[in-house]
Amino acid sequence: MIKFLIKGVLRDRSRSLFPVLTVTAGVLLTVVGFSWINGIQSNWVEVTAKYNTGHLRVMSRAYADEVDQSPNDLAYIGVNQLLDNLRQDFPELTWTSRVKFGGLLDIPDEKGETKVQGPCMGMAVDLLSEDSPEKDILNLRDSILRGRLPEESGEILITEDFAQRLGISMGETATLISATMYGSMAIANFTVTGTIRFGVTAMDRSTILADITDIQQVLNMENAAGEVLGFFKTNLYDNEQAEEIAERFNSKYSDKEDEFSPFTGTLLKQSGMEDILGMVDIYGEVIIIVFIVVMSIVLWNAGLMGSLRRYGEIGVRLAIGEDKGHLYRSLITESLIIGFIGSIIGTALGLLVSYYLQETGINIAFMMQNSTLMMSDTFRADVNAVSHYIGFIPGLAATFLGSLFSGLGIYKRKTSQLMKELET
Amino acid sequence: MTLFKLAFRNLIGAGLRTWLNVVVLSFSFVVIIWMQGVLKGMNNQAVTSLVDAEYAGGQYWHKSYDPYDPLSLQDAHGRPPEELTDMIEKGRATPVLIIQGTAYPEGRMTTLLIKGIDPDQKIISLPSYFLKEETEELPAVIGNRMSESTGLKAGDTVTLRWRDANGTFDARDALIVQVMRTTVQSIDQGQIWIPLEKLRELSNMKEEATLLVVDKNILDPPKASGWEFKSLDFLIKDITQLVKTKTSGSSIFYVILLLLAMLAIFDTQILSIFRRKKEIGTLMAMGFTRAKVIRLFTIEGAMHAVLAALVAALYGIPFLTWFAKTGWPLPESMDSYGFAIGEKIFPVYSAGLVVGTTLLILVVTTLVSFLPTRKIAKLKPTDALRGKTS
Amino acid sequence: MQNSALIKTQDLVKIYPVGWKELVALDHVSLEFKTGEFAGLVGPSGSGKTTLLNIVGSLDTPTKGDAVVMGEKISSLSHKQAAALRKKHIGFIFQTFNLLPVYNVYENVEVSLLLLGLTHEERKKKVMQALDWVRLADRAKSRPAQLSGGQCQRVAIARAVVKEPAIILADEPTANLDAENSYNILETMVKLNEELDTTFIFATHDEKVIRYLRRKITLFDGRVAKDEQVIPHRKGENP
Repeated sequence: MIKFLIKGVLRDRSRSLFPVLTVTAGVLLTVVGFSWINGIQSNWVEVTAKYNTGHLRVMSRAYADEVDQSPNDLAYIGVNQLLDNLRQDFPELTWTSRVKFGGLLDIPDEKGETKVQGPCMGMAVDLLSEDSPEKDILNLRDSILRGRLPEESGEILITEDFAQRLGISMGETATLISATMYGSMAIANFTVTGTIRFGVTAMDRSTILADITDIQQVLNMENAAGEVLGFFKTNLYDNEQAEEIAERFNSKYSDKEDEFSPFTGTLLKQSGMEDILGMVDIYGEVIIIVFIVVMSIVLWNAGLMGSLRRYGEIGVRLAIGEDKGHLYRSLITESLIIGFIGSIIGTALGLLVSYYLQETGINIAFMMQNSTLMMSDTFRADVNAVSHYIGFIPGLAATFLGSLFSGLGIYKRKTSQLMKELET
Repeated sequence: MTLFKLAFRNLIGAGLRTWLNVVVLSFSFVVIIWMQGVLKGMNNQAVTSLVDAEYAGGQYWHKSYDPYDPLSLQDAHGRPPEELTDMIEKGRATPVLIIQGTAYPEGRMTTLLIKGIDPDQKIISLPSYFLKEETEELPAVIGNRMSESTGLKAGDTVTLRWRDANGTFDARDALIVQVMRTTVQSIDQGQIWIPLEKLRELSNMKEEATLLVVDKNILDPPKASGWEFKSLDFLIKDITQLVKTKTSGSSIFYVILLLLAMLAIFDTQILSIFRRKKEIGTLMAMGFTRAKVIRLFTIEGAMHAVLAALVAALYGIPFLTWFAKTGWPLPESMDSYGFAIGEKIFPVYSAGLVVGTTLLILVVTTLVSFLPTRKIAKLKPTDALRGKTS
Repeated sequence: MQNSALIKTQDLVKIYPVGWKELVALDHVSLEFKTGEFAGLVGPSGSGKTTLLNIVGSLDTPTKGDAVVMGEKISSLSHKQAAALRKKHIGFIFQTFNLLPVYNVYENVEVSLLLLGLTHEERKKKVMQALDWVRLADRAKSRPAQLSGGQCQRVAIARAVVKEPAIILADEPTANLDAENSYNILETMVKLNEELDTTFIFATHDEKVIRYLRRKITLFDGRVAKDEQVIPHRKGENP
């Protein structure tokens, strides 16, 4: 019987073309929409993890309470031991310490007087160790635009946009004016060896990248660090696992009474984007449901019209002894076949568009001028395994619902009434 | 008139099939009007806030000034020429001086912009009148975001440090006299407001300004050498761009929704013509010209749009009104985008939007209804009467 | 050949509501049909011919009285049981052929057998045999649009006869055919009646069909006006 139905579907364009087009349109949008939203979410997670919170972030409780200010006066002391503990207890993550700092970058002229001075954001990471994971995490080798990576103590990188505004060339000296962990002024000279671009406006504006040992010395933070970041070795953020690890760590090491005991938070909770991500997820689900509803209604109508077109065939099949239930089920099966075909075409087209959006992306730098958001300047789609089948959900659900309702007309009416249509 | 009556009866006679099409089409109406309303509301809110709190009727910028480059501030200050001082005296413009500085809340170093404004100005809604307070320290006003990120509250004192016009470093204590609540981040994040004259004195920039904010009602801003006038359109272009981008994003959604509805109507028309061949033949036998029959079927199809508009009004008006009153609460982190939208978006539905959407859907539906009727033009009356296609 | 009652109607009444009124389509009709009969219901439009055929064919149920077909009481059959009766024992031939346009001749005939759970080989054998009976084996791959009216009706006959049912109900089978084709299909049906002992019941007002009948039941206003055995006169024979 299935072969019979498939033959009918493939040969009769009038019964299949319209429903296939309908399903294709809805599925296409679902696949593209999903891949797009996925892209935005993955990008945000990646950028936030890389430059801000890691997948997990360990800080002192006091630091965590005012984390937006990067309060180095509340940094965790004893970070070397902490790193050892973390690497032993949680080997599934890569752990690395960082210091965030703010200050002024002063560029001297030939006389040593200030030529130009501007506020800067600083990030101190392990740049000099052979086995430092930061070079890969921050993708430093590929982000260098001019010059080279620091190779010795006293060398720093600055973002290209910042370098251009400062008018600084490679090899020039830049003086950092900041505050130590204990509140006194810290001043240190550095040599700028290279420029980088992160592709994140909030960071590209005015960031310097220094080696953590240098900064620990300058800011009087020996064996101290503001943050210790953990990254899953798979490079993929798993919120459930992250929460579980955070829970385990906090119950073992964290003490609510001691504001300087270490505390771990997950990426989602720390970045304050839990609600926006939640909203994006809901938005995506609502869109799929809307499309299921709209497509179902349209296909319901198509089903009704299909039965009108095929009144002769339906009458004959009843006459030869096919019972109403069987007929109804075969119409549903037929619709599912059509839905399947439409879903395949829609998914194929959707993937094509999504891959294109993944490769080219859309540049939204203009939106980011005032932004403090950790997002790339270019939005891209992200095609993953789910993109390949998500379209089938509305595609098949809508065709099923559509034929379920339209077929009811056949099921509920008397056979003799249906036969009357045969005679018309 | 007969055609319309006939078309209407035929449509209603088709029962469920008609109403299913009508529901889908009405959905398109409501969705398009709603989403466009939200975008317009977003635009209006952001623009209104920005205009009131920061841009007023436009700004004159010192030729070296770049709002995205704090390094430009070093050189971006000067005495406004006569044409502009004239406006200032008449109360049609207010000067703002901006320099780079550092603050030390609780001993921590924070770089920020120190902005000087006339406490008596009435051009923008920034509560500069709080700066009239007589205090030992420098009176200062900050925004709520600045307050959160520095931990400074009203009544707190903070040390400010800066470099004056000659390159000399200087410092003074400031007293936070007020924390202003604002949706406009560009007068809040990373800055502190003090009285203009005090700042001029401390920075050795007598009578100087970085920019001038001009009154909303200025019609023809004069040219001034060394200063560029930035119109409101220029200043709000980021918001305009954002709305444009979001509009094109949502357009894809509308297009697909309409496409689905139009596919349904197209198919309905094809079936209609197929099933009613005898009726077509009879009408022609009675004296209807082919053109009239085509018109009849086209009107029938187009009427879906009319019915859809009525159905849309039925559930759409209460929904859209309620939404306009309640607004759409935005998650807190939307603030980080840097757009002055606030906590809720209130959609704005203009008459133009409603009429425009209605016309669009009507035209598209009519066109889609017409296309399949061309078959009728080729129909022979005798064949049609027998129910055959020619 | 002709012995036990295959179909029996007892005081059969069928009433249709039409607006506020009632239309009496059948008014106390009592008839019996035996195996191998070649009978016809004749009468003007609205005399109840099609209604009676539909009830006998289990497509409709009586308002009063009953019909017993192959030992089954029509009024007490569930729609599943009615379908089963039609599936196994009853074939239909319609005025407008009602072939399925997207399927070819072979597939149109095969569709009856798909419901009987036969294997592919069994179905093939029966279909080809049926097509042989109607002399269309060489057009097995043609679509209905490529056939003449007469050929279409022969395919419809093959479809009705392929499962070798006990009863075939033919409602105005020649109404859309010219004389030549009408006689052709009538000859075919007579042959099948003789070879397979299938009972044929026609509803018709076509003189050409009436001439082939061996029993003529005249209906008028839903009642049996006359029920007579007649001598058939096939094509070429003088009455």
